[in-house]
This record gives sequence, structure tokens and C-alpha cells, in this order.
Amino acid sequence: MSKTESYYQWARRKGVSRRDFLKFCTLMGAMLGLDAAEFPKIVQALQSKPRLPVIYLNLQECTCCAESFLRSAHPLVSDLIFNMISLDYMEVLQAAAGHQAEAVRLKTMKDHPGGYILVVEGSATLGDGGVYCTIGGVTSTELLKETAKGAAAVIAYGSCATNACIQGAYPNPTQAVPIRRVVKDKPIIDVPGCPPIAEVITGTIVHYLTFGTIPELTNQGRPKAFYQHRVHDNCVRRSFFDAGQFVESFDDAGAKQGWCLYKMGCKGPTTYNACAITEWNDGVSYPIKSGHPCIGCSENNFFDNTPLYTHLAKIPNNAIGKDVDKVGRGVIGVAALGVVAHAGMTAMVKHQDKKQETRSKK
Amino acid sequence: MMTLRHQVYVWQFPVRLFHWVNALAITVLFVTGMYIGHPILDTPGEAVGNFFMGKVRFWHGLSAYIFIANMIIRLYWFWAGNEYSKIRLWKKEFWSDVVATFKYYTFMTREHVLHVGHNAVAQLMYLIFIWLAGLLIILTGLAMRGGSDPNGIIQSLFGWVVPFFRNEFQVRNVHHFLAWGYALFLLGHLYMVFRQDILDDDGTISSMVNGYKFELISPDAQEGRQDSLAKERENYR
Repeated sequence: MSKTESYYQWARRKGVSRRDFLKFCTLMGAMLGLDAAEFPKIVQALQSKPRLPVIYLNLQECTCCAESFLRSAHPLVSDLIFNMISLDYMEVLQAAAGHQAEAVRLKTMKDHPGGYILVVEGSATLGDGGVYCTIGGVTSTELLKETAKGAAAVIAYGSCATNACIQGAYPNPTQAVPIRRVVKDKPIIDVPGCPPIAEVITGTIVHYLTFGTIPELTNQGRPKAFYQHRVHDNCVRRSFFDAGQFVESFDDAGAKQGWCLYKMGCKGPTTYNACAITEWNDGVSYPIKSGHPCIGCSENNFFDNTPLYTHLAKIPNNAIGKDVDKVGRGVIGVAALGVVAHAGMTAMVKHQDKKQETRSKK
Repeated sequence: MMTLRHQVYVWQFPVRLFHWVNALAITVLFVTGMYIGHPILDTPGEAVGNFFMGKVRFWHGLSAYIFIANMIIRLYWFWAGNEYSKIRLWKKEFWSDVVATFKYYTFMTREHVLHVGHNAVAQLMYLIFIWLAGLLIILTGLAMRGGSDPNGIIQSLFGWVVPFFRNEFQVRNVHHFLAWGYALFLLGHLYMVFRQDILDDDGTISSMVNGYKFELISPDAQEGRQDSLAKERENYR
């Protein structure tokens, strides 16, 4: 493929009809939450812009994000996007191995300085000089620094990259840190989730492609189009929450009726993600719809706020080891004892005072 | 000589109103909040016919806005109100009073510094349990409310709170924890109020309704004071 070939030219060469191409553009527009007037911009961009080189790094992670990425649901999305971006380096998918693979990465970095997108899956490790994750003899942190230097933007893909996820949970033996802590001079887009929904990353990349800027971000630095809503606020079971109908155990009558999973430890009320809207695997379902409480995987430090199947308010505090209500009741109990003791002391003192008074009068 | 009691108008109407609106709002907020945390009742039948949790959340929100408005009005009254409606942390006397009152409450001294308004320890407790905790509980509460309307005004004003606490779970946790602070405050508050009223018989409890308290004038401080009171009586004649 020549460097100047646009997406459209490339897609036509691959046998995609113009009709399918436009359908894809519409779909992406809808997924990015754009209005119809923006649709020509997407078409324009994909017709004129050369394919975007992408380097995909796998650092300290479990590859579940890559697995999710591969399941990018819509055929058009998976085929086109997946081939559309010029995915130059991705350990999981590339045929090359060893020095050959590293050479490809270095070539892309040299050919497109400041022009490629860096997608990072996994966290950087700072512990003991970063020895806990090395690739090709280089620590993941060094690799990240080196590759990020010439990137146009960095997409932190998955909770590992955005908040160090499970390996970053207390006590964090490898000192796993989010990408933001290492790469500081590049625009970073957080795409959290364990794993994130495939369409979210494809959508984020297309946004960058179309407008040449990073998408509008939420207060937590995530693409607003996908992460602005709470899972809870768009939940299929929300009506049961509002009605006050809760599943008490996984095999009770309420569970059969599809009642709210709030008391089964659902983190939907504190989780911002697109699960309830985009859903997973071509919109088949998402955890809550399938009867499993949300574990809040896209939230910072979600693995520190466990057990997963414990009701939100009953999750013990990490420092104290007890939940808020136990602490509260304990404090009130101690305070009540204190009040009784103080009242007793007051009565005693008062009594003594009176005795003294009567004595002095005599 | 006996202890004299001199009637003083201490709590102006806005202060009394603030007190009772605050008490009511906090009670409703605590009960509804605990229910939202622990929905112990199950409503039978179809979801269509019920909106119990929705109603509880509605009342929680409504009381929260009343609570906030009440605090703002009271904040204004710190400036506009009389001497007894103010907290003056920057005064030396305030801190010496904190020490003196603390000693009195811990039975380290029998000397009871008399106050018509609040003593400094009480003021400090209001500052911590009502104002600072209130600010925090309002911020965390609004941050959670704002999330329902991502482009709304509340979210744009208080959206920073969630990243500040790392995640919304912690925001919720802090909110829940502070609620217990109010329960703790209520316990201490009620005890101290009844204790004060019983020990000094200065009309503390009735003053919350009518605003009048009785300034106690101990026998050894009556010398010059009596003259002024006598003068006052003269004027009435």
C-alpha cells in the first residue's frame, strides 16, 4: 500500500462497495454521538486522509483488551477498521517476531514522526527499575517512553493503562502505574474498562481520524461519547431499582423476574461506561442484562473496592476493614457511652457542690 | 445573694428558622439516605405500579436542596445577624474560651464561664460538624446527582469532585460516612442542650423556639450590674 492511499481508495481496492463505505461512515457518526450534519465530514476525512499508522503496545496486562478489540462486532467495523488503520505493530496479531517485529515498530516511528497513534494496553511498572515487565530486553516503561516520543496522541486502552487495574490494586507489588504517570507531554485519551468495549476504541480512533483532534473528554479524561453516562442511568433493570425491587440471592424469585442487582453488589450506580447503551458482542447483551451485577471495571481502583458480590454500602473500607455503617454504629455506641459517663460525672460533681454549699451554710 | 437572671433576645428569627429547617432536612436526609444505601423493603408486584426507591431518591434530593438553600441563607446571616449569630475564629478570646470551656466540660475546673450565646467549643463543633462536613456532603452529593445529567449545570460545576476522590465509589463512601457524622453530632448536641438547660436553668431549650435566653449574673458579679438593671427598671416606670 502506498503512503498516500486514502481509506476510501484502500477500501475500494479491498472490494468494499461505496454503499457499504457510506453505511460505515453513518454508523461511526452515530457511535460518536455526532449529529447528521457531521456525517459529510467523516466521509470527507476517510476519502482524503491517508491511513493512520497505529502502534499497539502490550505492556503489563492480560490481553483481554486485545481480545475485546478483535471482537469488534459489526462486520464492517471489524474488517474495515481493523484493516483500515495501518496497524504496524501489535504483538498479539503480527506475523513477525523478535528483532523483525521490533524493526517494524522502529521503522514506523522513523517514517511518521509525530504522525502515528500509540495505543497502549497495560500499565507501566516502576517497581525495581521496571523489571516486572520487559519486552525484547527493554522494560515496559522505557519502551513506552521511547514509542510515545513521536506519537501524535496516546490512547490508554483498558483499565491497566488508565488506572493500573488489578495489578495496581493494594499493595501493588510491581508499582504498576497508569500511562498518564509516565507520558506527560502528549494528549492522552483514557479508554477504561476490563476490557473496554471494542466499538469504543474503534470509535475513538475514527474520531481522531475525522477531526484530527482528540474527542471531547469527561471530567475523568475519557471520551464523552462513550463514558458520560452511568451504567445505572441507562440500565435495562433501572425500573426495578426505582420501584424498589431487588434480587436478594441469585436463585430467588426476583432474579427470575429480572429485578435490580443492586444488593448483589452491582457497581452500576458508580460506574461510567457505555455497556448499557452500546452493549457487547454486536449488541447482544451486557453483564447486568445477562443477570450478573456490574463489577465497575472501568472505574479507578475498582479492584480495591471489593468483594465484587457485596452490596455497595457493605463493602469494607480498606484501611479499617469494616464497612461505613459498622464504623458509624461503633462510633455512636462509644459516644453514647461517653455521654452516659459524662452525665454521671456531672451528677456526681453537682452533688458534691451541693453538699459543700449546705456545709458552708451551717 | 441569689443568682440573677436577665432576659436577653439571643436567637433572631432567621437563626431559629435555620435551626429547625436544618433539623428537619437532616432527619429526612439521614433516613432516606440510609434507605438508598440499604433498601430493606421490597415492593411486591409489577415494577410499573411502584416507584418507591424513586420517591425516596426524590425526597432525598428535595431535602438536600432545601438543606443547601438553608445553609446559604444562614451564611448570609453570619454577616447580617446579631452578635450571637457569628463565629469569630480569628479572635484571641475565642481560643481562650475554647480552652476554658474544654476544661469545664472535662471537669478539670469548676469555673463555668457563662455565655448567653454559644460557647466557643459549641461554635467549633458547629463549624466542623455542620459547616465543614456539610460542605463536603453537599459537594459529594451534588457530584453524584450531576452524573445523571452529563451536560447539565451541576455536572459542569461539581464534575471535578469524582476525579478528586479517584472514583465515584469513594465519593459515595465519603458521603455515607459523613451521614454518620451527623448522627454523632445529634447525640452530642442533644445531650449538651439538655445538660445546659438543667444545670444553668437559662432557658436554652425554650430559646430555640422563642429566641430568649436568660443571662445569669452570679452573686459576685452583681455589684455594678445591679445598678444598670435598677436603672433599666427606672426607665420602665
